[in-house]
Amino acid sequence: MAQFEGYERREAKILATLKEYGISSIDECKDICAAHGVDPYTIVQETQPICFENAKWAYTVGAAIAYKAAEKTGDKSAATAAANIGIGLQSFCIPGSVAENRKVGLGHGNLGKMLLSEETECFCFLAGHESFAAAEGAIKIALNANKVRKKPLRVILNGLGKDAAYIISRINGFTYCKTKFDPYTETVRVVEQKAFSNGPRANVKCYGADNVPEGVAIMKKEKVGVSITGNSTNPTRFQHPVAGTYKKWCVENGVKYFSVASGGGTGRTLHPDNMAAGPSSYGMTDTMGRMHSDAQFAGSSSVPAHVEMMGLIGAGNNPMVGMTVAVAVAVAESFKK
Amino acid sequence: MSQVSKKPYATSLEVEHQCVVEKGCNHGPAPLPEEGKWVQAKEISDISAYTHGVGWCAPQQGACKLSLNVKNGVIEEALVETIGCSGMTHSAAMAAEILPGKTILEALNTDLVCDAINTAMRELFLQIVYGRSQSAFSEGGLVIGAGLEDLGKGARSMVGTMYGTKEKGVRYLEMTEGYCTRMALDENNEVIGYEFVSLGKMTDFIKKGMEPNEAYEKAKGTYGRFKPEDGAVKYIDPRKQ
Repeated sequence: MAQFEGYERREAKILATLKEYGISSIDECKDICAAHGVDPYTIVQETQPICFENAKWAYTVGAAIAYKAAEKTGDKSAATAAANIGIGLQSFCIPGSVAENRKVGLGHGNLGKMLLSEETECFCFLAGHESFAAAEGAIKIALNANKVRKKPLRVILNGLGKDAAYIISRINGFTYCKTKFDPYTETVRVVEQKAFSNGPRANVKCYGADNVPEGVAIMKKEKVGVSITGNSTNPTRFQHPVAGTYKKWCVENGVKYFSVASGGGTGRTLHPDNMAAGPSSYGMTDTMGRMHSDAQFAGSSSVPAHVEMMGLIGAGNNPMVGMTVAVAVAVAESFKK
Repeated sequence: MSQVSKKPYATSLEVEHQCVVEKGCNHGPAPLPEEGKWVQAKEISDISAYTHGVGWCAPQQGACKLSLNVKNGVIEEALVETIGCSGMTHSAAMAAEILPGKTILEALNTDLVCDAINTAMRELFLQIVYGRSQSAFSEGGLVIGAGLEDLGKGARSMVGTMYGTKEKGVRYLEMTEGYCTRMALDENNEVIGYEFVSLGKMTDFIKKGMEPNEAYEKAKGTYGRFKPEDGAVKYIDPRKQ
């Protein structure tokens, strides 16, 4: 039987959602997926090995909903499956939590949908480069999204610090892009590229910027269409300023850009502005995200426990992007068998 | 020069002779976001939250991360994590017993036996009374048990232990996932992955009756590019090689 963290606080809402799709239990979701030869539980575990049990079940529930919805509407595309997986994720949001408030579950589904739609050409993990977690999401997207897309999706990591970008590329088999920024023209050029593997992982380009203007120049150079910010150390000095500045440029120049604010500071009072003094509200990280984002998540980009605290599930927001894409693609592919 | 008056406190003669200048503003404190509500905190019992404090000792040889789940001013749950000093593990043992049941004001004035833990309590107090918490916008706050959830499976602290020298380079000893058993190097002798054994999982397997060697293998995992087909050319034991 399905057992996971916070079961009793989640059960009623999950079952209510499942009922709308004619499913009577969480275990039945597993059977529905198994009948199609798809195992979301394992896909999720592979994406982020330290994730919680509830993350694995949430994607199982989401995939089952995707199957039922596809039966009903006949729309068997991966993009639609991603959006429907979001309905499953949303059912896991604890009532009254930040995650439920901000509809983070649905947001993850819709983000996955965007990445699987042809209109999106480049997806960027706007990272702090503090951890390998953005990479965990990027790997899954790189390995899966292009199975169902006609035009390949370009995936990049854009973060603060060139040394960190190099090491993250090396550990994950990405292509490290060494750049030189010209502060007078605010343009950037790639001076060296080093692929750390031969497979699809090498299609993920990883950039390290010295500062915000270089970060913005990288966004322009790569024509980023969708991005997700993340991580806890650098959001107020890199990710949000880069996203906001690029957003302004996009608005002025008629470029389509969908910005998702995520990471450790979202949904909390804590983080880099924090002097533990003076009146409290949302912290500066959350506030900056509100200023530029089209959708706002809650909780850490990498730490499962911190996303769980926001009432969603125990998985980092960045790995979750990869999970959504991987499970949605698996669902869509299973129809072809 | 004070005199007894009808007021609750004695006033000096100088003040007694002054005329009244009215105070116009009285908005109370800025409301704190606490467990999904906005609270104008005036008393310690107005404080509810789950949050952390980090502290250190005078010689900075050890550090403590303290996590408290506070409901109506009372500590309902305490997680004490320490690093860098053997003595403080015993101080932590005592603190985890002493803290629950106390109000956060009491906890400030309780000797928690270790500089780092005392400092963590001070920092946590500041965080929590200024409304900086993990549960500011979570209705009803976090359940008692959120501290254990924070530790994840196997209920062990997230500890990173890494070592490096100019001459011999970096060694990964302990990662979130566990004790690092091997590091994988590529053809340039640069790190591209690591292997670990999750001590929590391994111990749980052994407790259930599994043979230690089998449990050791089953609790192992890898991160990054660890296999030869991923480019690993050489494996080293970070503690021996």
